[in-house]
Amino acid sequence: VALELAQEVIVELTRAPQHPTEKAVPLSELRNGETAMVVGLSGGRHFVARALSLGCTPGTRVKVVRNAGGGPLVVELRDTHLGLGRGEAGKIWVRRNMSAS
Amino acid sequence: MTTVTTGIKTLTVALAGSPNTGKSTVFNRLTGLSQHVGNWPGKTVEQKTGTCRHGDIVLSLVDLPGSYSFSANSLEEEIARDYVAREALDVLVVVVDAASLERNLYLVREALELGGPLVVALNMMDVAASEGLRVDAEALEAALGVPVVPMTASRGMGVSDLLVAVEAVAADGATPLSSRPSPGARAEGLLEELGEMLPADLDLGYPRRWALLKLLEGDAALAAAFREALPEAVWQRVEAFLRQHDDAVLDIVGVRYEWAAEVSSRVLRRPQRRRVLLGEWIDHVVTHPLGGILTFVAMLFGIYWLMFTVAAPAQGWLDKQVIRANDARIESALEGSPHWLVSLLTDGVLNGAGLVLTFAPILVILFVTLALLEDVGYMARAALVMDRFMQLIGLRGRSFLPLFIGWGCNVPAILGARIVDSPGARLTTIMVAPLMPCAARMVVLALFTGAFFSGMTAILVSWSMVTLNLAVLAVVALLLTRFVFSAEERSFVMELPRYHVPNLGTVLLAAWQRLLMFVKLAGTVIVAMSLVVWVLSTFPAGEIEDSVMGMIGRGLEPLGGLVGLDWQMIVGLLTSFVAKEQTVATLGVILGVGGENGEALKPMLTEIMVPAAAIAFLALQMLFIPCVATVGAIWKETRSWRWTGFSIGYMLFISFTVALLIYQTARLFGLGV
Repeated sequence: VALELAQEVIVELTRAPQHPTEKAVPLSELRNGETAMVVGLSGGRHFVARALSLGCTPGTRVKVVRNAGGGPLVVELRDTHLGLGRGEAGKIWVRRNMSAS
Repeated sequence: MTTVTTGIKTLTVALAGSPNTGKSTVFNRLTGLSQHVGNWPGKTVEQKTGTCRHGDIVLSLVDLPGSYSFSANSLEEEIARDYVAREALDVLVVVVDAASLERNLYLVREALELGGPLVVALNMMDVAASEGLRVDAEALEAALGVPVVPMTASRGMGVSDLLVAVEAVAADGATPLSSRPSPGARAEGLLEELGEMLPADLDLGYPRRWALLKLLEGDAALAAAFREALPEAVWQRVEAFLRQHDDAVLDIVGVRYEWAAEVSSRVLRRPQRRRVLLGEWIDHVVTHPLGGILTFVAMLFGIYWLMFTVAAPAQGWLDKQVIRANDARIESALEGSPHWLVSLLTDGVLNGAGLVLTFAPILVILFVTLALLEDVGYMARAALVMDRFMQLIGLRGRSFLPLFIGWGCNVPAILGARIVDSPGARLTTIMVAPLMPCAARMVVLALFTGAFFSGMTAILVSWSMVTLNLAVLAVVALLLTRFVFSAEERSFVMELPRYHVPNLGTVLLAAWQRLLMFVKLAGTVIVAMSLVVWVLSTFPAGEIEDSVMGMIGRGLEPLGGLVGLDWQMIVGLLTSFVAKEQTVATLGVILGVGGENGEALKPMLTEIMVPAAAIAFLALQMLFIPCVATVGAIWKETRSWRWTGFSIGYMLFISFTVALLIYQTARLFGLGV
């Protein structure tokens, strides 16, 4: 149920072109070195605003630098590194295998 | 073009920029030592101002708090953007990190939308070059339509060019409205609709269009301002409209970043093959789940080592050479005057001032190391590594470092809590920091455990007491974050800046300024409260036994009886308010062995208390109200007597309750009585 709710938020927030074969997954599910494209953000206002102002907008290419499977993540986007709590990374929705147009 | 002026002309200039762009270094280069450091009115955020003379022109400069955007995502950003949007600036300088151009252009774009006179300081050109990045400043200038000055402020390069550009822009005035970038078609439409809902003469002191755009972005601080100013019915319509379009922020921010990416791709040339940077190798270790914790532990060990090998001897030296020497000087100068007068000046005033002074070495170490770690770029990594653990008590990674420093001394812990970015988490950190068992309390702990227990039992008792403090800290932090600041969203999204060679000048200057602030603000409170304690323990008889303090101790004896303590112990506890280790000296005086002799005190203590009462006393002492210096620091950082009072009140309550539980349980089972 919780996941469905999150999906609802994301559907509303999504601005990236739809891709029929790939489902959106939370950023926290990506492994070290994987790249993906941000398609939406869910979560509280403060988190969304902070993430956006740091450049994590829909359409942005993001690379996971470190995901230890537990604890925080390090990601790279727009030539900068961001540290994210695991919970926060779970609220950033991405699609794999999408090359930036 | 330029107006010919006679005499000296003053220009008001503000420096904005993201953290880690070298903004402070630019500011220091411009102002030199003509800086004034204070707080922003009513806020506990540092405000730095200064002047810079250049020919006939004097620049009056303000260094705005570091901000990634002009949205109020943090207190720093709110202050910076309020200043930029409301003040009539002659020029706004946005400092930009050339090595991280795309992300940094976001703030430039926001400044362009505001439309005031603007200069972009393209700083850290050396870092960009070392990474093989080439930024074409002229192309950037053409793309932005405002002057762009390439700089390497750490080496003083570009400073005079910046001054020339600032003066030229000041002479030209604001950018015409037509050239301001558009927030995009959808936002334009929404802006128009929103504008029609509001009275045309509504003036909140911000540019109207800008304020409406921020409202659409979901800015909480501006929403509160509008709510205040509008009739209830109008606000409800506006709020419904904003909720309906709460995804507009994605478009607005998206358009800005698209622009930033586009401009950056035009003016930035990347190396053919991307180099693996040294910082990435370092990060491999420093953000590793295990390696990160080991690095952090090593860093903390380093800070402690400095505190004990450098700060502690310096404290001793200051105490002996400055405080005691002046004691003697005052005593000989006032020979023949009444005893109370000498005592007032030495035990009262000088003791209080000495307390402030002897804190200086510890604070210098703290401020220098914190500023260094911040400047190098390590602090964000430390917060990242500790985040998962701090979540267990409702806080986030940034709170760990200040709390851990509290192990040495609570005062720097409270001052260090400024690095915590959300107000509720910062306040929680300040409230629980006095529960960290500081070094002074450990002195008392060691004396008592040594007097009553031996071998493993002594170690076990000491360990239990420290654990008790940490457990209470965890519970109080959880309660505060769960119930008092439950509405606050504490997310952890943080830039991990590039590693930099720290700028020693910037670090030392910052440490010096913070030390002066402490002496000025907390110092006054500490001296005043030390005087009160002196009065209470001196009058009317001159000896502590028969003083007001002694009488209070006797009066509280029935209460003390509940935890197995007689009046001497209560007075000993009460005087720990001046400084935690004061307990030992007071007990020495009252029990007649002198204030300087801990060893002689031990047998006396075992005579007047049973072991169960000693443990109850230790719990009471370890959890008791913060010392005056800590109270001064709490007041300085919260600017609230209510919160200061709360911290005293809750610790008083918890300490007595825990001591009561320990003593009464021990009695019930006949243990140690």
